[in-house]
Amino acid sequence: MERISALMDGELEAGDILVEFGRIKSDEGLLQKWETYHLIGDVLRKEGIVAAGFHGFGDRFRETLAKEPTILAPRLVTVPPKARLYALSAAASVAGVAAVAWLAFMNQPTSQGTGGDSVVVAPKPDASVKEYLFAHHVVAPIAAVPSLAQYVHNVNLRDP
Amino acid sequence: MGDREIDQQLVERAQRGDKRAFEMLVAKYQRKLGRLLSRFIRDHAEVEDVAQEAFIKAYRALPSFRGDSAFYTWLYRIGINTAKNYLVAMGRRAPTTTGFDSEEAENFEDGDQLRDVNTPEAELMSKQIASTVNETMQALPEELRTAITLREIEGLSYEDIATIMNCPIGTVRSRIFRARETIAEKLRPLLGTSKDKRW
Repeated sequence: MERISALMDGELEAGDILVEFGRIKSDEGLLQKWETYHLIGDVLRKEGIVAAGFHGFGDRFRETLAKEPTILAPRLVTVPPKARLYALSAAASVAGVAAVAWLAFMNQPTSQGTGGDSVVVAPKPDASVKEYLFAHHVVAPIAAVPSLAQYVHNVNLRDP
Repeated sequence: MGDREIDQQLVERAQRGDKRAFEMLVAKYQRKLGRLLSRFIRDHAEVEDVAQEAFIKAYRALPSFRGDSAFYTWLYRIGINTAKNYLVAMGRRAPTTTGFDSEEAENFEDGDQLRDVNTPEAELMSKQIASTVNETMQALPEELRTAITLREIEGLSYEDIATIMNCPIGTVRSRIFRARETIAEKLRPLLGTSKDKRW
């Protein structure tokens, strides 16, 4: 009983607290003791509906609570402040790198300007243009748009 | 470990399915919540019904309680909202939010302003319990009375009490326990006969 008295005053060691909670869980008499000790404190402090007003409330509430489904909440993961600081600085670094990469990507020169998501459909070349392209593809500026030049070359070779 | 930490441990146990832990919180705060609700609701039976509803709401909402505030602060808000909803449902005027949604929960005391919501029978019982506690306190040996007074009324830690009383902490712990146990023993006949009664 002395441990319950110390428990309600917050004067038990952490290990003893767990033991005491376990004892109260399995012993109805200890719960009554816990309740009575708190009642005495409330009366001495003139706090709460003094004594009789709520006496028996606990017993009646227990009957109601017994009908409630048991709560099983996921345990909260508490991140220590220092680890939180590291996580924040890492996130800031990643965000910084991403921002720089994005800006670099956006500023790259492209053959189609800065058209964004718009789709450009090239007009079908007529026969004279095809011949011209075929004749000059060897000296065409392939280095500027290598993949496009290769594509044009192949199409023209296979075109009847 | 302080009061708030004990409450937090009880909440965490309740969140993991330990109903007894929640019952311990109810045993601790039932009268305080009852006194709060009696500021809005005159009838004592209604106060008890609303208190019960507030505790059940709190139990159901336990998964959302993260411990950012003290348990009683959180319970206080639930109690106020439950009382407001009850009064609105009954077609009565609900209290304004001003002054009740603040952080006053921690230090809530209304002393003599409290309306008397007890029935005559409950009022008699209250007086009997209060006089039993007070008379037993006066009859306690000086060292027990001082120890429990410093703890319950002044809110001092065992270490501070030990310093004031010039004795080891273990002695303080023992004195406070003996004082409580003596008073509890005197209360036993009163409490034992009234458990099944609803006031």
